[in-house]
Formats: sequence, C-alpha cells, structure tokens
Amino acid sequence: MFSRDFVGGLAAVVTGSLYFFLSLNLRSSALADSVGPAGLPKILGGLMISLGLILCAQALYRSIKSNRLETNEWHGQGRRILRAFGLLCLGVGYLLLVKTLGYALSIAILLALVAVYQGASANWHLAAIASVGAGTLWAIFVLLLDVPMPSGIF
Amino acid sequence: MDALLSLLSHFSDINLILAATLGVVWGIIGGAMPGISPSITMALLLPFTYALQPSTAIVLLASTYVGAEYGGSIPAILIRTPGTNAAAATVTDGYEMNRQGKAGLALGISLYSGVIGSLFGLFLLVMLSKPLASVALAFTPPAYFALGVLGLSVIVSLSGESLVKGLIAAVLGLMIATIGTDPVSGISRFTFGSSELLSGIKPILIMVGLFAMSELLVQASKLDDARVKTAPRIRFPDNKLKKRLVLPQAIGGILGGFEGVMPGAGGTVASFMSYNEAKRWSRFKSEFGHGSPEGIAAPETANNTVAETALVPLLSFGIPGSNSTAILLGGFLIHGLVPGPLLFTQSGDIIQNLYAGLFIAAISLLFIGMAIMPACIWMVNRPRPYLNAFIFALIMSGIYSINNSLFDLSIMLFAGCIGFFMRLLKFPFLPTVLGLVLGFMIESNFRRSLVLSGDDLGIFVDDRISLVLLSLATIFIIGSLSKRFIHALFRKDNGPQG
Amino acid sequence: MKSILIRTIVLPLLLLIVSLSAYSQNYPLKTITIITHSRPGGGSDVFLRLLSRYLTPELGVNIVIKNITGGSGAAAIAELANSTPDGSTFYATTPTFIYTSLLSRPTFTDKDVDPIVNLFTDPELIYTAANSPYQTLKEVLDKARDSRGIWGAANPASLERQALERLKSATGVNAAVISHEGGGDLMINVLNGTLDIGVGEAQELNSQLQAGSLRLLATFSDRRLSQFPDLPTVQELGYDVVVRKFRGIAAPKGLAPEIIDQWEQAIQAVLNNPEYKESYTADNLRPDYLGYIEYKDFIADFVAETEDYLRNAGIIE
Repeated sequence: MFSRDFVGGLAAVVTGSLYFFLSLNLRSSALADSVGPAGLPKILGGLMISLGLILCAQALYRSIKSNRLETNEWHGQGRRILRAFGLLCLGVGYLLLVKTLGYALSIAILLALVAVYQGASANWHLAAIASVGAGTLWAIFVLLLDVPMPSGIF
Repeated sequence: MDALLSLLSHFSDINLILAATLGVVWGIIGGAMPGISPSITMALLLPFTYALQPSTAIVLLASTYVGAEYGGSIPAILIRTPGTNAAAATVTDGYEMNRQGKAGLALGISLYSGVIGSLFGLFLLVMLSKPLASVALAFTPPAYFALGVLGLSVIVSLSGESLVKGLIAAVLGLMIATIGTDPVSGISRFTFGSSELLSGIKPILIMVGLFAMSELLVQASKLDDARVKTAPRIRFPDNKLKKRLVLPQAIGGILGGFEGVMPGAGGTVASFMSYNEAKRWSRFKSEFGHGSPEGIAAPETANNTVAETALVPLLSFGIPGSNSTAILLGGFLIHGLVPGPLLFTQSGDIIQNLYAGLFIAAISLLFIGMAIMPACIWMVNRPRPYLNAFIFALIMSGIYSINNSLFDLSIMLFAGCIGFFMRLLKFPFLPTVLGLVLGFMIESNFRRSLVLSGDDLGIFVDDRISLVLLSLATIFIIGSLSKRFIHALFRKDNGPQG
Repeated sequence: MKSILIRTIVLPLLLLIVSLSAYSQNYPLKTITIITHSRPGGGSDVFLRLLSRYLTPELGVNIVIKNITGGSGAAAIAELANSTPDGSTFYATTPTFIYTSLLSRPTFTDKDVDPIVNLFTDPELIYTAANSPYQTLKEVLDKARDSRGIWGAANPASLERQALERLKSATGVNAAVISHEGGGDLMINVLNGTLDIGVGEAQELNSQLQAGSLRLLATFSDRRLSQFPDLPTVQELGYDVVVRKFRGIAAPKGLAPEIIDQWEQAIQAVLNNPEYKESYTADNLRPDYLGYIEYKDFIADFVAETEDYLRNAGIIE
C-alpha cells in the first residue's frame, strides 16, 4: 500500500506545504522588485506540492495495476532506521558535550563509542585507537590548522 | 617564445620551488579535510606570508589553491566525503570505483586529470589572459541566469529512474538556496531571526551531510562488511584508458577555463557541468554513476583548471571571483601590491614568478600526490568500525572548523538525516546539490535582469550570450526528455521499481 | 674600561628598561586581542594588521588579531560582549555590525558593546566606466530624470545601497538600484556598461582608477578628499546625502576610563605617525578621529539613521 514512492511523494507534499506557508508570511519591502522576495519561494512550494502529488499518484497507479501488497519493500527497514538513529544520537551527544568536556576528550569518546556501535569490541585495543585517533585529530585541527576547538571546563 | 624563455629563468629560484611545493602539500592537507575549504586553507597561511618576499608569498598562496582543489577529491573517492565544494561531483563515480576495489585507479585518474587540468589552466592563464578577461566582461546578469539554467538542465539526465523524483530533489536544493538574505530587497528569508542563517546555509554543510553523513548512517544500519579491499598502490590509467579520458578531460578543461574567469560561477558549477557534459558525449553513458573513470576525469580536470583561470579576473581587473582569490588578493594587498591592469607593467616580475611557481606547483602536485596516496589507501582499508568512527570524528571536526560553530554541525547532521531518508526512498542526490549550488545564481540574476530591463522578459533574448545558452538548455532538455519517453515506450512496465 | 662599558652598554640598556616599564605601567596588560569579523585578508583584517604595526609601540602592548567569522559579524560581537572589560579585548567596528544587529535578532547586538574611538572613514565614491557618456553626476541624474537610471550597489542591505536610495529620493529621479554579490561583481557590470554608475570604496577602485578604466563622479563624504581635490561631494551638488563608513574600535561595556584615555591618546598619536600616514593615505583611508564621547553619539546617530532607513524601506519591522 505505502510504497517508497508514495511515502516520498507524501513527504514532498508536506515539505512543500510547509515551505509555501512560510513563504506567504515573507515581508515585502519597498526595495523589492516585481518578482519580490516571495516570488520564487511560492513557485518552489507549489512545484514541490504538485510534484509530490504526481509521485503519489504514480505510486498508487502502479500498486493498483500490479495488484499486490508491497510489504516486502519495507521488511526489516524499521530496525535499520533505528540503528541509523542510534548513530545520529551519538553525534547529537557530541554536540551537547563538547563545550563541557572539551574537544580532545569528546572526540576520543565519540571515536570509541562509534567504533563499538559499529561492532568493534570494547577492549584496550579500542581505547588505544581512540586515544591515538583523537590525538591525531587534535594535532591536525588544533596544532596545525589553528582551529579554536572548545577546550572544556577542565 | 620570448615569454617562455624568460619564464625558464625563474625556475632556478630555489625559494619559488620551495614555496610552490610547500604550498601544494599544505593545500592537499587542507583540501582533504572536509569543511576546510581552499580559501580557509589559504587564509591560515596568510599570517605567515607577511614576512616573506612578495613573489614567494604569492606563489605559496596560489600553489595552496592548486593543492587544495586537488586534495578535495581524495576523501571524495575514499570516504564519500567531498573535501571541497567542487569535489562533490567526483563523489558519485569516485566512491563507486572505490567500492569496487578500484580506489587506486580512481585516485590515479583524479591525480592525472588534476595535473592535466592545472597545466591546461596555466596555459590559458599565460597565453589567453586577455581574451578570457573579455569573456568575464561579456557576462551580464541575463547571461549568468542563462548559465545557471543550462546547469540545471542537467537534472533531466541526472535524475536516474524517475524524473519526478529527480525534480523533487532539485526543488529541495533550490529551497535550501533561498535561505538567507534576499538578493534584491535585502530582507531576511527563512532565517527565523537567526544571524547564523543571515548569509545562507553553506553548500558544503549540505554536501557533507548528504553524501558522507548519510553513508555513515546507512552503514550503521547494516551489519555486514561488503567492502572490497584495495591494493594500497596508486594506479595510473593505461594508454587505452588515457585515450578514453581525452574527451572528458577536454570538456572539463574548456568548461573549467570559462567558468574560472566568471566571478561567482567557480569550481563547483564547472565540475558539475563537465560531469554532465562528459556523460552526454560519452560512449559509455550507462557506466556513469556506477564507477565511470570519465566521471572522475571530467570534474577533476575542470576544478583544477578553475584554480588557474580564476586568477584571470584577479590579475586583469583586481576583482576576486571567489573566496579563494579574495584571500589571494589580501596576500597581494598586504605586500603593497595592487592586482589590476597596471600590475603587469609595474610588477611584471611578480607575475612571471607567479606563472613559474604555478608551473612548479602543477608538477609537484603529481609527485606529492603519488607519495601520499599509499598512506591514504592504507587508512581506508582499516576495519570498518574504526574507519567509520574516524570518518565521523573527522567530519565533526572539519565542519566545526568552518566557523567554529556548533550550529553548522547540527545543520550537517540534519542534512545527513535528509540524505538517509532520500536514499531509503530512492531519491537521487545530485539534483539537490545542483539546485543548492545554482539556485542563488539563477534567482538573483533573473530578478536583477528584470530590474535592469524594467520587467521586460525580452532581455533574455536580446542578450546574445543568454539567447545562446538558453537555446542550448532547451535543446538539451527536449533531447533528454524525448530519450526518456522513447525509453519508456519500448520498455515493458515491470511493476514497481524497487 | 669598566666605566666605558657602563656608559656605552649598561646605561642605555637601563634607560630602555625604565622607559619600557614606564609604558607597561601605563597599560595594565602586555597582550591585547582585537577581534574582527573579517576573514584574514579581508578589508578589516588588512586594516587591523597595518594598524597594529604602529599601535604596538604606542600602547606598549602586543596586539593579537583574532578573526571570528560567522553570523555576518554576530559571532564576533558575541565574543566581545562575553569578554571581560579589563582592556584585553577589543573589536574593529564597521557598519556591518550595526546592519547585522538590525537585520537579525542576534543574542548580542551593538547595544551590548561600547564604541571607544574612531580612526577613519572610508570615502564612498560614485564611479562610472571611463568609456561611458557621463562626465558628471549631473548628467547621470539628467538621464535618470529623462528616461530611467540604472545604478548599482555591492550588496542588497548595505551602506552603499542606502546611500544610493537616499540620493534617489533626494533627487526624485527614476532609477533602479541593482544590488550585487560584492564589489567585484558590481565593478564588472559598471565596466561592461550594464550600469550607469556604481558606488564603492576608494580602496576597491584603486587599481582600475590607476589604469584609467574608471571615472569618478562624486563622493558621499562630508568634504572633498585630499587625494581627489577636484572631485565634488554630493552635498556640494545640492543633495543632502552624506555617508560616513566608519572604522573604529569598540570594547565590552564597563571599560575603565583610564584605559579609554590611553586609547584616545594612542590613536591620536598613531594617526599622526608620518609613516602610517603615508601608508593609509595611499590606501585612500581618511583619518576621522572621534573620541569616546563623540564616537558614542556618532554610533547612536548612525544606528538611528540606519534603523529609520531600513524601517521606511520595509526591510525590517
């Protein structure tokens, strides 16, 4: 029923509507031209909605024509999305912690956690790799490239 | 000939050789770090150049630019992370070749094409500076608009299976490009009062998110390691392949040569347009997107040509066409030199040294590229958990470095999620990236043209360049559409496409 | 022998140490940081690096220049507002930080920092291509009155745009003001004849002026420029439009009055340094010293005027 294309089309319709709504509220200024700041956004929003509808229609047409449920298309995807979401959480965690823990420590933790998440076993080997990796990155970005990375509260 | 002879006398200068080589090494390092753009790489060097001789300083900066434009392709091929904006066009086929265990060859093609592009661009810079400078002057707002449209016309052929999906992806990119300050009236669009968004979302955040972050997310969602290991040796194309690469390289060189001189167009547009043209004129179209050597050669030649011809407007008018050349302009100014028409007569020596330095840079690019490659390939052959952890950490560090901003990091992660779902739902990325890169140029120049003409659409036909480019775009779109249509007619509907 | 040694080496050395310590007693710190929102090599950055060369001996401190880009200047302002007002951290002001404060809603704005001294104003010049038919600003305005003028500014929400829009309403002519993606983009469109005139800073125009491919028509300054004594001001031509693109120094709020005093003196001395004078004159920067009190008023006026303009134009609410 809900094939990939149908979901994609739906997402496009939602995105397009949201964007279109936002562009309706754009201010217009005395310095604006005849097209105006909202000109292109309105067109893009409308385009997105109609393309999304076309995609939905195509998907529905196909599934009616082939007349079978496409459940297999989604088989096992839920777990996959969850696993990807887990990795994303590690990234967000880094964002939240880096100011407090400082760059060197946070990036070492990130290295270790992502490696474990991807199936590495947590042992001294991993700890060594994480600290050497963090040291290398620190040397590249802080020493060599002079980037003012957060130093943390320590 | 005289010009060449006098150039030769500069090669003996050991300072120039050192500066050019160091510049290339530094540039490759900076370019290979995702988020560290060529201009940041150059800017980091700028304080060190104050103490140097003017010509050494200029050569150092210009060689860094050359190195950085090449360096961007290394992570593009090896870890699906475009190191620079322009390298995003190399990601598709480069990473695909890597997955097939041909990373050594992919890197060899990119290096070989990069050197050819540099040399060709230098030739244009030295020999055809004047005519190219007039090209820059001939491009008015309607012509820029038409150039952008021509670039977008590529979407029809880059969309893969479903044109509708390709268009949706493109509109998404165009939408992102509208965030920031409105190019005509100056009001803020979709910034929600945030000053971080005032100057728009930097394309590199979206590119790294879409390509690299989404790949990490996809890999995290699978447990099997289906990689082919690569022999840690760079392989240059053999004669047969070299012959096949001549056409894409010529396309890349010519488009790069033109786009380099136009302020605002730059390496990214050149790379994508030559990628597409290479596909259009290739005898092996179906290989594109599945690891085509031509899909690496064309964009890599193009962006390295741009690194040279971008100096044309800077040297001829004193106008920097990109961030990187703006830094170079800073380098000139700090040494009391004013680039422009008079530089050739007043400080001709500096120009000669610059040309000689760029030549040395192109040659040393070849050797340095060969020397560092085994180490790079060794690194990507490490076990997947460690490799992915390192890529993730590298991206998080590099993106932060652009503006020392955690906000940029969240944008990148968000783009990664969008990319993940786009892959899940089988939407192509390239149209999004194209829309993102070209959107601002198209919109601002369209509206600017209408203000110029007093809302008369005729301006796009009256301007000769615009007329030619728009006609080409129309021909390409109709051509691709009819090909799709014919293709669809002769293919039986095999039910839902997977 | 010993006395000669004392006289020739030790005494001068002592003197030097005494005089140096006198300096460091004056200024409470050894190293100060000046923040700029411009990238290395950008306008404010080049200005600061040149200034620091001459200001270092004058204040008796080391000067570190820190580039904090991002958020169109908002990141730099935030950094300044968050730093301790002990005379260690300063910021190079340009109209950018006022525009950003007005156009978006950053956490920290121009209200959160304290302008200390002004050094320069960059003259804004009206220019046209050397091969264009316009010899004077009047001819440009006549054309705009008869048919329609096409004028160019570098950025959509910028001081240059504001200057042209004000000129347009002061003269009542019919002109389209076209904004660009920077000064380079604009200059190309003037050079190729797409635009009648453009507005830019002298520094950007230098090389084209020397090469003779541009012609200056007028300046938005309040008086004539020493480098271009024949160039009329817009005000002289009868239109009351004056633009002062300032370059100065700001500090976090609460700086001790003694430190402000030292800055005022040091900046005045630096501006009179003959070597520095030669170099900034060559760059077409015009010294426009304003002390703490005047500068504060000046900035307040500038903010009010800009806010007024942006509101009337409908760019902000």
